[in-house]
Amino acid sequence: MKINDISFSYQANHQNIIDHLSYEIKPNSITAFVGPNGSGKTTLLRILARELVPSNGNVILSNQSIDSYSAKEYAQKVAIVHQHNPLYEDISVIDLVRFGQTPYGSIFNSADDKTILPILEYFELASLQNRSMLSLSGGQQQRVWLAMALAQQPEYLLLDEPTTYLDLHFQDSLMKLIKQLNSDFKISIVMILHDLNQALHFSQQAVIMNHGKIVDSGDPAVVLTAETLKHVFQINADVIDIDHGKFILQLP
Amino acid sequence: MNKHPAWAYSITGLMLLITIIIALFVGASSFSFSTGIHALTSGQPATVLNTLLTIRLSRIVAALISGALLSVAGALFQSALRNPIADPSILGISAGADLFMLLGGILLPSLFLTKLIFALIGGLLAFTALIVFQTKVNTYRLVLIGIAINAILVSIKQVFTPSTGSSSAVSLTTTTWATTSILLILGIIALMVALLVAPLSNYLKIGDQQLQTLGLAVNKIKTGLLLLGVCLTCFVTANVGILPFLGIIVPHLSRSIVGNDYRQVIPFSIIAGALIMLIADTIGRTVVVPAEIPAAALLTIVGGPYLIYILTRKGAYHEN
Repeated sequence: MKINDISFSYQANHQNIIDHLSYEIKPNSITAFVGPNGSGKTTLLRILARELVPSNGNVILSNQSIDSYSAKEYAQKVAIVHQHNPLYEDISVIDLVRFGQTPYGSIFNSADDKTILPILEYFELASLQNRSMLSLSGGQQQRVWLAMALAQQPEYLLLDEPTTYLDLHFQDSLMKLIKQLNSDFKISIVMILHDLNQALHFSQQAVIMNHGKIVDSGDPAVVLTAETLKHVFQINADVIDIDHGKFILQLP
Repeated sequence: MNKHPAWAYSITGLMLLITIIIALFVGASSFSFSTGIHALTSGQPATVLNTLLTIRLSRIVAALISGALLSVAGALFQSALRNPIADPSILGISAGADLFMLLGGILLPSLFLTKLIFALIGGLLAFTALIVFQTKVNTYRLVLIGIAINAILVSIKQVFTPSTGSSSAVSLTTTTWATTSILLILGIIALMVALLVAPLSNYLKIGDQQLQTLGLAVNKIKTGLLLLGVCLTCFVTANVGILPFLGIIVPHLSRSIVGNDYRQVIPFSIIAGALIMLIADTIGRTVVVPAEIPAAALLTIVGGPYLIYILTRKGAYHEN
């Protein structure tokens, strides 16, 4: 997926939220976008999901501009799990995951459970498949939304702050699951993270954004430095090396 | 999420059958059950047979189909507007249809299907007014706007008909086979469409952004379901007038019995809506004979408190 010189503003003649940004997302990689609030991360993700249309530039997927795909074709290639996933009425776990198969069939046909059941197993949701979504914990619900996205069998999975609202245990297990998804299904993961240590440990590429532009990108262990963090986030931090690897420690 | 629809359908179906039999044999013209059976089997006495087949059966069929249509219309509105109390009768659709039927009666009194055509125009105009506001406010404010539109339309009608107040020119008491058969044919077609599109209502349980990522045209789905709901409501209003609250009571009751899957909620609402409407009408025309209590009044007496119950129930009314 290649992002070519895109710009976006929510209102005409206002400051660009995304300002002439270019970047190539490597296939089968895990890419983490980090940056302060308002830096344009979520807007960029929404452009990649085709929820917003850039005022300038384009995004190329498999040698084709993303706006040239039909809605159904694009849904077979790119899935997104938002930070907030509203549920207006209760639904069973399996019925929600079945929605992920919509791009492959008719809206009036039931999904093929031969595809759905292994996905439920994979996400350890098989025993919960008939449970109502509203009876699940936040961590379990997030796994169901991820399972629905996987049922789309996408090439790219976009995740907007997937660990928000989760406690430390669920954050850790979800990040491990995302890493596993990438290696087991060869899906490219593009995610927005606020926790810089998660970006350091779970991504192969880190993209640091500020004011709608990319400040730096590359191996997270290389680009997430104390100097960059001070410049972008205006925080004093130290990157320490211990047995388990590098850690970012925010200093008072 | 495991409910037992087979039991629920059987019991409700049986209750419906019993209610139809009771409704057929009770009423202002009093005769014994055996006389009624004799009239149905032998055709004698002719007056009893006429009462059963021409007067009561047409009214029963009209009540059944009206109850089914309004209940399904409510379920469609609730899913498309994502609001548990959205219902065409309180959002002004029925009132719009009713007002335009009056105008139709004045402008083109002799045209075939005048009432139906003008009811559809009125319902669609009220719906358009609602949709104009839909983009500007959240779904909860939209319901309040719908209530205001309803009040405005009811009052406009009162201005045009100062002597008769707001009561409809048509009601279940005015049904004949001529009106009932039109309602029956249109109703059955519309209900079949509703059963076919029931899975779409399930999709609307999740957010617009989530639906877009599945490649679905969200606005088309919502508008299609709402337009179907408007048609169902206008068919009823044109033939038997405004019947409030059924569209709220029945889908809510159905969800508590067969679960939240619209592939169950809609078929169950058809049976339960028909049952509740027929019970209301039968009580209304038998408790104070020879006078009648309008079914609309009975539905309001039961439906009003039920609406309050839905609104005050913990967790039932959450904003997303």
